[in-house]
Amino acid sequence: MNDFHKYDNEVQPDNKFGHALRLLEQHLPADLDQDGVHLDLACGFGHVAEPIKDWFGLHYVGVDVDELELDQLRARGLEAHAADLTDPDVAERLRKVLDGRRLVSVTFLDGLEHLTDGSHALAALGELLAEHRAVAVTSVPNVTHLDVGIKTLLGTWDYTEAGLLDVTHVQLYSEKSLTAALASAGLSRIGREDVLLARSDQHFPGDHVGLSEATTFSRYLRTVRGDAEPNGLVNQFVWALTAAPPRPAPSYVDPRSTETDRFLSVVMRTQGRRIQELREALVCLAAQSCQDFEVLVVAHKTNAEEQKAVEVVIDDQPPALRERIRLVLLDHGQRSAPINAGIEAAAGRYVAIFDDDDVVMGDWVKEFRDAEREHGGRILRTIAMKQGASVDTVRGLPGIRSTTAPEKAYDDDFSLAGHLVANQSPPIGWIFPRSLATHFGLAYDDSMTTTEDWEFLLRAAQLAGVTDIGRGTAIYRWWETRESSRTAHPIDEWAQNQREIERRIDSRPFLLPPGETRQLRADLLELTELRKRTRQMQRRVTQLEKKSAQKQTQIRRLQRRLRQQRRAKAPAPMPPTLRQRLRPRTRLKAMARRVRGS
Amino acid sequence: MLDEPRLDEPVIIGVQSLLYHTPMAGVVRMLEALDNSSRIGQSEGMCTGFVVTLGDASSERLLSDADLDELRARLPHIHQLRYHFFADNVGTSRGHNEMAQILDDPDYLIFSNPDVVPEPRAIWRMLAAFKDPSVGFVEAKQLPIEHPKDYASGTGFTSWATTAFAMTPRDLFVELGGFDSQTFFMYCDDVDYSWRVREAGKQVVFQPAAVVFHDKYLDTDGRWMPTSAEVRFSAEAGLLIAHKWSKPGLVKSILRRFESADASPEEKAAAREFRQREREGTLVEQRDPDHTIGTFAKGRYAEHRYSL
Repeated sequence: MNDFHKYDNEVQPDNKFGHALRLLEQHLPADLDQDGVHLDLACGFGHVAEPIKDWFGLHYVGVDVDELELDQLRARGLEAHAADLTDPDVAERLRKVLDGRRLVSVTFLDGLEHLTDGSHALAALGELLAEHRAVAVTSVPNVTHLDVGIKTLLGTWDYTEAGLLDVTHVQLYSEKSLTAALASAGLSRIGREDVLLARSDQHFPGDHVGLSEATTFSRYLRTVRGDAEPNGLVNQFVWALTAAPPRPAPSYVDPRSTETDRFLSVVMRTQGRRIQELREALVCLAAQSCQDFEVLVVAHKTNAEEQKAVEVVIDDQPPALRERIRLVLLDHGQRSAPINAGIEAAAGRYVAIFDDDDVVMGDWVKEFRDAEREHGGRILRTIAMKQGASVDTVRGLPGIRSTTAPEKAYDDDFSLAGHLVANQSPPIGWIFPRSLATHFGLAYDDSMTTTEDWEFLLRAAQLAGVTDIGRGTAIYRWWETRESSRTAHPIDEWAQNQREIERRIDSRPFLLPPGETRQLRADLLELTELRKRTRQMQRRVTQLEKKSAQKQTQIRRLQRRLRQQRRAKAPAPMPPTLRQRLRPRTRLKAMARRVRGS
Repeated sequence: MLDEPRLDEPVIIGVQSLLYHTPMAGVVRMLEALDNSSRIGQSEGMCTGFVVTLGDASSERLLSDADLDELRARLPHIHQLRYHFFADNVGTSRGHNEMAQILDDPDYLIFSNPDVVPEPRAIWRMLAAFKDPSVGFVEAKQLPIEHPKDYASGTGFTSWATTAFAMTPRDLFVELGGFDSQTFFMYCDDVDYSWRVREAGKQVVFQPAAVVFHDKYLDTDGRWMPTSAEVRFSAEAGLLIAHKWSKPGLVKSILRRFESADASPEEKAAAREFRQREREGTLVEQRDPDHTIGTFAKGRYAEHRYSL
């Protein structure tokens, strides 16, 4: 372990300097050339100069625009050069600084955010790393830290003298925007040692309810953010970089590039064992009155024969549908893995989970798309019917035989509180905005062997809300003889998964949509009333039991008295007659003799 | 190529569909699906020709010549796409009979509703049933709502086949005189044809592995919601088929219901039509006096597995 104590107080194991040095240690080549140069861009005071020299034996060269700080470096016996990192010719300037020497590594710590246009500095870095096969470490403050995010949400933006919102910062970065800026300059991340701070320099005022980790509001935001993106506590991104082919892109986001024309992505998982059901599912899609959808058939753990069977079904489809079907092969994971793989590959604004044995009406897509116009962003729900089915082979071809009429088995209207008790929404009856996956990080939990859709719906419905369309557009098949998820898992397992859902729901704040409290209030009032009545009834029962016990005692006493009276009045018992004393067998014999004699 | 039952020789398929103010989007979806079926049939050597006839019974042409040219260009696997404008609402029986007379080259005829989308293999699986020479009429299974009539596991034998999507050898169709257009305008013409197929010693088969999508609307309780016209012609056809297949008691009972004060306007209209034919003597000769063919079970023409 390197000794940080002998250096400048600013260099600590748990700050950006310490992290940057560790990353360099990990990524510098083992056979370091002693004549190699380390460039420290936007070096300022040059905090890492001595560790760079001492630990890695590299020749430190500081580069900055501030002559005063450069003079101080020179006074410490260090090489220092002036360079404007916003200059379009900065790469050439740095080549002159190197003057033919071999560049081994670069640090660019908390400098990028101070540049009005950092693209030239990053491009120069990319070029030099490529030319010298060198590595770099950069650190950049994370403007999406939870402290900044929560305060911004509540309308506060506090510049400070230094820190996350240093008043001199002119560019602000998230992980995504930093990655994009680096990629555009031909830089790729090869390691990270981000600095985490639960309480950043923006964690003020101290009594801010939104910032406190203990408040319900804050806990809710933190759990939602934690699902969405992992950098809520990252104070500074500290990344090791290497050269990569540049992917030129503007330094801003074009909102139009984030829009998708496709309405729906239908994710259909299959194991390649229910081929006839898959055919039925796809003909339902081929016949949709609205064809604004793509289909992602996720073949999960299929063997060669099963995969081939799925491919034949896809090849058989009409061209207009076939060109919108993508086959995704997946060989790992449990029940939810293919769903998540499908969601990841999806491009639509909404996602439907369509099991390969589901059936839908011809306006299934259209009803959803019509609802999106007014309720875009919410979960859209229709009514799914339940219908019994079995496999029936006719003339050598296995087909599906419906065994019961489609019947209503689920609630017409969605209630989030009601869904805490039981799932009333089979997946084929609802679709969700893909944004829940891309922006909120929601995914089906692959550790759950059953009820994974229920768990997802409970989380998704809190965030997006649910719009009921009120039409029956889907049929959920209820297999009577064949294996299905219903029959493949024992009841205990279903109960165990339900308990797990309850545990998870209880572990975090729960958000109810408007109107749900009315029903809860009504239910709670009814429950209170019922409990009151139950208590009254219990009291009455207790009274009656007491009375009953008293009566029993009285009856026993009277019975005892009666027995005593009878004993007192009863005559002495008569001795048994001869006949009574004869054994039954003897009596029978005597009777038989009499009969024979007569 | 799938390893599935098939006929020994390739055949020519003729599909005919009657349009009546039908939204063209659905017709195009059907044609695209048929074109795709033909692609499979030809590539796997199951057919040498695939002909589609659209009979238009609307008051005005639904398709112009330019529309047809465009469709023909889009559907390269349909060898002939024929269009016949009846200029009259001819009904399904007469419409199909006349369409069947237009072409005599198909070996097998398929009667298809214009809003049906067949699964790519459906036609070839229906065709395979004719390997059995006793089979005369084959019906595909409809989605999303399967017809509830009962059929025998293994053989698929059933009482009748619905012409939402059904196939019969053209020779048999001609031999039996096609649909009874004198009696049936729409509805029950397929029941009647099925029973005459069986009367001629052939079998009617329901093949659940051959699937077509024929949309139906369900109410929120999962019940089918027929239109007013469907109720009207269904009621009329119910009377006429009961008469034709020798069920005078049933005719009497239906008429009693349809002529009661509680009857719906559609039922009353059906009863009036029947009485008029009775008066005019245009009711056809009755058949199956011993009731060995026709099945009348609670207003249905087969035992049902469940009620819709």
